[in-house]
Amino acid sequence: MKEHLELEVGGELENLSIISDFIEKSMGKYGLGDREIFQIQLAVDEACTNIIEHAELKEENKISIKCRNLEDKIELVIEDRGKPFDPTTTKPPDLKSGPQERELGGLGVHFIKTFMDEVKYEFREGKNVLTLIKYI
Amino acid sequence: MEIEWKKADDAYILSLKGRLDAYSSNELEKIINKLIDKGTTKIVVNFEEVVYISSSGLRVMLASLKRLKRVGGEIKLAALKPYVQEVFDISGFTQLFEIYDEEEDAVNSFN
Repeated sequence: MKEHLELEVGGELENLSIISDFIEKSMGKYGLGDREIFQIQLAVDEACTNIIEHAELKEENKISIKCRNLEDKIELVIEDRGKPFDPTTTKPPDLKSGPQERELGGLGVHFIKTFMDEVKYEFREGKNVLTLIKYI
Repeated sequence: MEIEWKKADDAYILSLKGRLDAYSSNELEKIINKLIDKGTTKIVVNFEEVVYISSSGLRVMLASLKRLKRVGGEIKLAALKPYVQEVFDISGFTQLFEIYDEEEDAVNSFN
């Protein structure tokens, strides 16, 4: 199945479940297994959560998610017109300190990098364009 | 997400059902903070019916653990599904929390 699938949603946290359902259905159509679907759902959810919480999207601006099955890999392109933010340059999270010293942030990007095989960011034509690739 | 809570001796047990994403994490954080504000120091979170967790869910668990540790309390977790467990593992969170297979074991560990 090479169908291109696309979703546009408003930048509200309550839409995260719509995004997750879209990924589950789309990746199911591409024939992926439950574990890979979970990993892609998590990566996309984290990317979209960052947009919703930090990009200061205007109400009329949506988040766009496009999926393509490219035979040996899945490509997901997430676009928004919020503030420029390159998640590929964030510092790695603290994974070792005890509970009181442990910092609360940074895990979302860690999940994206852990579960996806390629992560590319561009700011293009006024848009953040995040491309996530998973080899299958 | 559905969140139910009940008391067992002086511990509170929170049973979660559904997806723990940034949206539902905000709701969960409010409930846990209310319990801690009321003086609760022992909390068990039952993850048996949690099918999904993102970093926002982990953030709430860690923030609650930090708050409780400061007052000599603890938040313990039970019945994590494999994918949820994997998210805890790759975050280095498995070492931060006491995690039990069964809710009952988590509750009894307070005694």
